[in-house]
Amino acid sequence: MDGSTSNRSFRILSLDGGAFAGVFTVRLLAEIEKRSSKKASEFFDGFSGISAGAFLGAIISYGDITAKDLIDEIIFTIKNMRSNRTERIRTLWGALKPALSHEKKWDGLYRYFANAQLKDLKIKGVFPIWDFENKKIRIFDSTLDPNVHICDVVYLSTGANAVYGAVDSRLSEPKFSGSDLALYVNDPRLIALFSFKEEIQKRGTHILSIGSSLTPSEPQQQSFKRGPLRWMNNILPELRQAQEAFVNQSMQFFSQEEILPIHSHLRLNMISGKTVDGFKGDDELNIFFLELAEELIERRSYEIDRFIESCENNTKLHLPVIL
Amino acid sequence: MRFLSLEGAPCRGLGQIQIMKKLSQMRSIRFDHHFDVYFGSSWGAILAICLSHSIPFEEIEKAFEASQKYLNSRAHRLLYPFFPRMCPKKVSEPFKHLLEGVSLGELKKRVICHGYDYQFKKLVTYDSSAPKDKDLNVFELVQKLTFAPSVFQPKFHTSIVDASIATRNPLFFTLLKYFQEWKDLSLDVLHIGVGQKKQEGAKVRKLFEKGWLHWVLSKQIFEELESIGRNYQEYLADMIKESKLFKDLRIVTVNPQIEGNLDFSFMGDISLTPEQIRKEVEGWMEALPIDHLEF
Repeated sequence: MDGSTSNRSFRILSLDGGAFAGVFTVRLLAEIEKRSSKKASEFFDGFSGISAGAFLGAIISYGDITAKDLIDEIIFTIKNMRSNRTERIRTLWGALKPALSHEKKWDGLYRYFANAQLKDLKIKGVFPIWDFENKKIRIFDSTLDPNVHICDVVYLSTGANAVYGAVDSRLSEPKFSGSDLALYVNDPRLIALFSFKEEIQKRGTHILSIGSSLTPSEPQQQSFKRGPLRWMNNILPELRQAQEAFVNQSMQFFSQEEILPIHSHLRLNMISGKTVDGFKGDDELNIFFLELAEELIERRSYEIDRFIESCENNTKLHLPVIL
Repeated sequence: MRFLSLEGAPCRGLGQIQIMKKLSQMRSIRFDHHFDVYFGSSWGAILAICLSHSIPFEEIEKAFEASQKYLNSRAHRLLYPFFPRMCPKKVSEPFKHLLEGVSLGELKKRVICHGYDYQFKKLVTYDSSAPKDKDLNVFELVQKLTFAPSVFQPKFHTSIVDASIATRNPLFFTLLKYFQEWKDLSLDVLHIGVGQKKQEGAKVRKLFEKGWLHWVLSKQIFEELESIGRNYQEYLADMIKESKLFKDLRIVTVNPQIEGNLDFSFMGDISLTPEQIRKEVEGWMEALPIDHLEF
């Protein structure tokens, strides 16, 4: 890290999972880059990402690409990763066997990262994954695990068991298995706070958190009268909202109770009426996500500017958490 | 200060009582006196309230068993996937004679428990030492805090429901919320979990190769959701301890390994009978002696 960044507060980028809604996250990052006139890898000092957030965070902090250029890249990558119609029918939309191809995804990731290791990231990266065999959350950290391959970590971080089956690392030694944590924990903010605790305690922190998967649940009375089988449609949105509440309130405690010196914290979360379908990834869906991002940028423009200002001036700023 | 933290799940409370009874005998301590503050979520809140009101284990156990028999009934298990059949009043009825007429402020020890406000999407904390909560009727409160809307008939017109949907482990959230009050004190926490299912990694791996239909029918999806949620909370509590944010914090966790298939319910395992729970927990305590625990 050069002298210009060593005295500033530690800036954290926290990226939620959200499957193919990642295009929403990248559009928001492009806006941060535009308004700060800096690449995301220069503006932030560390990132933590779950699932699609791990993938995007790794690309931005490894390559030389700007978020603006990444929008087209991501749309192309999504098209390549999605299953085709024959595959979907053959697996009955994933009901009989995992519908998305490991190989396609691996090829897509290898194109970006090849044999690069976590030590090659330009900023510090934290990747939580679910070790489904040992039933433990495992956290890969570019400082503590420098020789682990980026491709492996991103491959497992995005390996939702329901659609990909069980996957293992391919390049790193010793090998490890794991899967997407986003099934229940989709928001890495609290994990980021603990992983970067020393830097935060030393320098204070500014946190930008982008969520891309919040779907409003049905009203209680409509949904709960139907029983758990019908409630299934509602259970994931409901769990996500409850987790969002839990993390938001915990972040408020960290800040208000002065547990850690959080100078500013901006949470930008997509609220979509559509449930993200893991099989899709078509142009219509990409346009839908981009429109949601534009709408959010317009609605929260003032806060985005104030957040960037507080980062650049190293000042404290209290922003209410808005859903 | 000594804290007792109790995770919550309807049919696992009996297991927690078994553990406390054993620890109580081994250490010659009374669980209703030994701790300064009792935390609880969901059914852990009932346990915390009963203990802080000095209700003997035998009485609490009888009430849990009566509730569990209602939850275990075959008719409910067959029908409730299609519509919520269970009556929340019947589930909490066995606790009525123990807690009716008691207000939160009357409890002998401090109790902190959490509910989830479904309407405003936030966790709500009830603290027996807080003036705003002192007059709350304890029995009505526990009915809300154990009200899992996916399982029970929507009889209550309340926006406060079981906090398990956000966290069934109250430890991390409570420590954060009361950080300023407790940060400079010497804290000893005994956390008793509701148990986790024994699983072989190889079996899970095979299951994942079969597609999501099998994943749902085998209930593995609920097991994964529960495991991730539980581990996340344990990770956060560990981090709070390791990061030394509190001046002097020790946490001892007891969490038994339990067999039994998770039922078709995210909110708890209603397929296990009281006898099965007792057998499982006793077996686990023999296999993994807990007398080395220091608290």
